[in-house]
Amino acid sequence: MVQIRTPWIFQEMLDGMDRMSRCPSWAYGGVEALNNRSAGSLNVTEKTASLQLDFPGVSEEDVNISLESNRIKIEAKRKDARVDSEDVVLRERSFGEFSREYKLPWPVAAEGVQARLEDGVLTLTLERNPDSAPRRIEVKTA
Amino acid sequence: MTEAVTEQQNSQAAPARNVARLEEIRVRPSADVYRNKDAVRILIDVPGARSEDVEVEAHDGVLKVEARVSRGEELRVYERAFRLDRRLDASAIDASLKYGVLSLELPFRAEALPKKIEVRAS
Repeated sequence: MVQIRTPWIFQEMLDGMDRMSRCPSWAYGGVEALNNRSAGSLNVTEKTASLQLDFPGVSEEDVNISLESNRIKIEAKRKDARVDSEDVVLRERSFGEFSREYKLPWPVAAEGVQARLEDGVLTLTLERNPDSAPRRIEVKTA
Repeated sequence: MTEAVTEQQNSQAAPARNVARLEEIRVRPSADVYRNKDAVRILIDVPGARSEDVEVEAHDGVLKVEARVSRGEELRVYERAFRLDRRLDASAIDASLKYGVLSLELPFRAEALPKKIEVRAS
């Protein structure tokens, strides 16, 4: 069996890219690498949308959601879990800031946004602004 | 000095995808291990898990953690195993769950802690 080793410089570059997009690995929960699907899932229908993101170790006050027309921005922060008196034996869980913007195919109704953080999972439900729904216009004769 | 907690390597811990009725996806969750002079603390990310979904078992010096979480059409199985040093008291493990993070606290055995012996003058 051939083993392919990732050179350390490549690893470092990936880390840098992570920081650039400000999406630390903790937001994926390590799932993406295994089954090639992000732990965050977005489902959009004609009138509603739902978004789920893994946010283990993040408290409500460290999540910020802002809305602008058809763009929804999610910002979160995970704190360092280590206490000063402790030594590190193993460190895989990263900490820091997460920021990601999603663009929806339709404008979102501000009053229809619901966000819930439960057991380390953020669930957002969004509704389409009814004013933006396609309308049928009748053609009148003179 | 050897580490008090080392990762247990076994075939079960290796990522494997099982196809079942509900799509079962085995995940190796991220973990942190910290230690101070009295205890070792293990943190494991298990987003979506409630306390009834988590099983922690210590047997023959091996600590096994498994959490089964159903998410939509998939059953996510978080699995991790650690080999424990004999200095740790496996019978006194404290486990708690908050914001989808499992926290395990393993104290060192009293006899493993450094003890100061007073020298009496005769």
